Amino acid sequence: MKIDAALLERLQDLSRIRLSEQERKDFQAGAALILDEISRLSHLELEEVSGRSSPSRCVNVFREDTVEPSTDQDAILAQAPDREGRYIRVFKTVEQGDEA
Amino acid sequence: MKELEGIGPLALGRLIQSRAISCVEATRHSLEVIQRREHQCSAFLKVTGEQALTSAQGVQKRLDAGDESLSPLAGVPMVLSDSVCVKGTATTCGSKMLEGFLSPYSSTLWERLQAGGAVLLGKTALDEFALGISGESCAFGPARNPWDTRLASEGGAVAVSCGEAFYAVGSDGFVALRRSAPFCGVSSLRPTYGTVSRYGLVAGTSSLEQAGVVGRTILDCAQVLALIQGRDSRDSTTVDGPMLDWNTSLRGLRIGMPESYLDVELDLDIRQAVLAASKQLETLGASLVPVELPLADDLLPVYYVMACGEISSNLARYDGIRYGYSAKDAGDLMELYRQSRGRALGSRVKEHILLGNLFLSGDGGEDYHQKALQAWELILQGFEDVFTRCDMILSPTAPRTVGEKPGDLLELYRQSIFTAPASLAGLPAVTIPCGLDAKGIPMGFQLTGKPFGEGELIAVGHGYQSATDFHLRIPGEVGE
Amino acid sequence: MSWEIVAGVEVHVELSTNTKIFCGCANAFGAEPNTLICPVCTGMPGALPVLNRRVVEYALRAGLALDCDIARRTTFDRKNYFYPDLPKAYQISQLHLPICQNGWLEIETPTGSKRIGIRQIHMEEDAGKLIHHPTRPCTLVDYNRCGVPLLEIVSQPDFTAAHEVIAYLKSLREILLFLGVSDCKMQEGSLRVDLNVSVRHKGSGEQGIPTEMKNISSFQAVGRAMVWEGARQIQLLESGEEVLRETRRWDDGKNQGFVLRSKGGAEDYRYLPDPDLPILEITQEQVEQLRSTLPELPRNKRARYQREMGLSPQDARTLTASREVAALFEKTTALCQNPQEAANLIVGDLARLCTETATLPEDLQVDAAKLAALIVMIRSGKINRTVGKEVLEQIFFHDADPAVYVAQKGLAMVDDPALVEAAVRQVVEANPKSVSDYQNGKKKAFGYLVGQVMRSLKGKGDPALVNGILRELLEE
Ligand SMILES: [Mg+2]
Ligand SMILES: [Zn+2]
Repeated sequence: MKIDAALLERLQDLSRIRLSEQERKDFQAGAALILDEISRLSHLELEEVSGRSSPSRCVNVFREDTVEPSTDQDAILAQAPDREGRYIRVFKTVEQGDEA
Repeated sequence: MKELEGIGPLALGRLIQSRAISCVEATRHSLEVIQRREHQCSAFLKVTGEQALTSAQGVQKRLDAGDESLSPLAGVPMVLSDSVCVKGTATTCGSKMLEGFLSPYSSTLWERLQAGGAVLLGKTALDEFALGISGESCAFGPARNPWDTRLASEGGAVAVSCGEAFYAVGSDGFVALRRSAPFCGVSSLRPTYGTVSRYGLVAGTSSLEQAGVVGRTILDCAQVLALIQGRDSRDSTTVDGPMLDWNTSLRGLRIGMPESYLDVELDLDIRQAVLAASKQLETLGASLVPVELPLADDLLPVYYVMACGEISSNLARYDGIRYGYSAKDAGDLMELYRQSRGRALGSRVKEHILLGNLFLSGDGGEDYHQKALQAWELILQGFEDVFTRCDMILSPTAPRTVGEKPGDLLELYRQSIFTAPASLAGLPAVTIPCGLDAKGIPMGFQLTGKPFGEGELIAVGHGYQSATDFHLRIPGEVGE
Repeated sequence: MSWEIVAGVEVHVELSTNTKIFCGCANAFGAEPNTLICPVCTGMPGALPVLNRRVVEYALRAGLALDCDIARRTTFDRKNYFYPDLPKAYQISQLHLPICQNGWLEIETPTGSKRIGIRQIHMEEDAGKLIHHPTRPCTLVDYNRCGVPLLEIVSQPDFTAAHEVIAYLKSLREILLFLGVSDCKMQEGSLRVDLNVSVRHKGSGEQGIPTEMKNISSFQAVGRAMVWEGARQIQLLESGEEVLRETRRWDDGKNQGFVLRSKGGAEDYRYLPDPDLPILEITQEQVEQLRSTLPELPRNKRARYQREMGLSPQDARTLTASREVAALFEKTTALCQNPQEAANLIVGDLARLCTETATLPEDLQVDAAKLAALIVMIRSGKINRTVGKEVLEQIFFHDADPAVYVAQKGLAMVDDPALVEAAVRQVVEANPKSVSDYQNGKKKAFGYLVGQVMRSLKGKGDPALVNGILRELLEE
């Protein structure tokens, strides 16, 4: 499989990453080799298998609904590159957020 | 202090407890070795010498006050790879993206070590976001294998190899830690998935990575593992680890030799060294049996697709807003994302993120990730079957002593061949040095065990190290 | 051929747990910005989620109340997208194995009741809050809300009229309030509604291209948005144009929708199973155990109030408008054994007091025992209704004990015939004009005289006795 210019653009967009010209070339070349290896997966017949999401053997792990007062807030905020008071400041978002 | 060279953490712990040496003296010793050797091997991203001495004093006070919570390794100087969060200190995970980031909290594994009286010398170099096999991709320059400083290596393995630290704990993310240890002439132990908390380990491939330990001997690793393993209420995937009982006799143990590994192209020296090791293990009473790995041909692609998918998701949080690098010159939100990530992440990381998004999105026309998840299920089941036929699996640690070239995606992929199965199936593994190649670089073998089979792996490794001395060699210093 | 509007709704409700879904930070509204945060809910490198047990319990309660199938195995997935309010750049949600599926909710319509299908209910985490800077072109981020537990309740596209959507939302809200899983305050964002609208030829059964309208501010506005959007689509189609798959914003003030973003290339959330959260296995026993602890739902309560207590449908509806009011009614009735009196008191004077003081049902703090005591005093003739109103106010504002208050203020009814007669005689003597008016056929004068007697008895006269004696004297 090849990664053409359109697909590469789409992957950069999904990843929110801008590659340099050189990086784009390297990636197209390197990824092509990798995809040749990976493509053997498409031959597997796996209709019946559900698919795992962890090698963990745990089930039903919970915490109780008890408040743990947090003490690291200021250390967390101190890491932010741009702040205004206790808010973290970012570029104007295109639309009102609240998507959930 | 020459007399401390080559001794293990437990032996040093005993000296400290018997007051033959103080915690501060032990720390000074390590700082001296660091001073002497860092220019050559660059194991550290940051040496925190002042803090180490202060904490050594604190541990000594606790010792003198008879603090019962101290471990047998109290006062022993050690290192963490820079993927492990320690409150208030820099944690970069080998990436420019996290340059200047001070972790606001501590990982569980560091809290446990700290409670036992560990003295942290600093943070060691690793592949950017632990994504590599040899430490090569560290954004601040890789650590150097002290046996041949032209070779990149994982910093913790280097620090232990040179005697800068008595043990190292880091991320067995891709495979750099496990692969690097024997190439530096020291041992490593990766426990069963979920037995050491990942809370506070910068996440790359969540379901494949585990904390790992590097020590001169496999017993050193076991002593350390005993301090950090066990269920953690902050990591939902954790369980209690097994009793680390390595007094198992090697007699009657069945060591599986995977048939698919016979076809792997590997250095002749490595092939011979591993064969010699297998003979040694037979001499010690184990028997060798041929086994077949589940989906042997597809295991590596499955591993790779899973790893890329999780990396792309886990590394999406580095967006220039809450912490880390932020492109100051971006003009809008989209530019902030694309420039920050484009500049501060290394090429290899970016390539894997792009690949991960390709596998997850199905944009390439194939539903790679779904396929991989399903195959993974089969592989996990398949290993249960394998371990009815043998007790552990023997393999080289890597096909070549030389790591990947920067930017060589395929080489990175191929060199994971032996270490990927344990990562994929959450199995414990040890790597043990077993000789020097023609160029004088140590080589190693790996034993992959059944879930919670750490004890047996340690027993076999210990049996082997009791009969050999490959792990006792200390690399010479340049100009010595 | 006539058109039909088809709509479905997605409702996000914030659960009223003590803590967030994956960390121990308090789940509270209105705190100082970025104070209810920790490494987990701000997505610090290496932090990991641990699931709040109560979130699962609340999801199951909602699922059972809405007649859903409960999953035996349920898992969390990551929904990946970049936005400043989402610190991990993925939302932990459920895609492949949601906890509840295939439920339904019955609503009342003018033409009878109608079942609305519920496709699924799943658990997820809320995002932070974005506040647009008041003076500059930038946005401020507050992560306090980040990680607040949400249920997303997705209906089938079963609505064909605005009043159906409104009825569904009201009923859903009522149920969630009764279950105690959410406070459902739209103004605080703890209940949010997204609407999907498409149109088709009536009876054709075909599926039109839907648009989505996000976060509409009130139930009535949802109805208006549905009507407006349906009309817009019909107009487009009739003029030969296409409906585009897009996300729109409803501006209720302008009564108009606006395009937010086009979904040309459908959003790609690159879902993957969350490796940090183990699967949940839910047993039949757990489900049955939980089912047995579910409260009686408003619909069932209404039926029972009418059937067993003989209340009017109107009273039954008012009393079940909230969990708190229904509980007060039931407790009061149990103590005074007089459902109609209890209903009258709560629906009448108490409701008026609530309105006057803008007290919300959930904030109503009235002791049922005191209400019951008041009812018993009225029914037994210890006090009359005028005094009853005064006593109720004392209970409402000062939590007064009715017996103590009545005794202290001497408000017990004057039912001694001699005392009443003396008062009546005084009034008759003092008001000869009214007496002669009455005797000349002006019956209205009687009421005036009663009022005067009551006044002299300070409102406490036994009405029957006052009436009887006054009539007797006047007829003399
Ligand atoms: Mg949602
Ligand atoms: Zn939190």
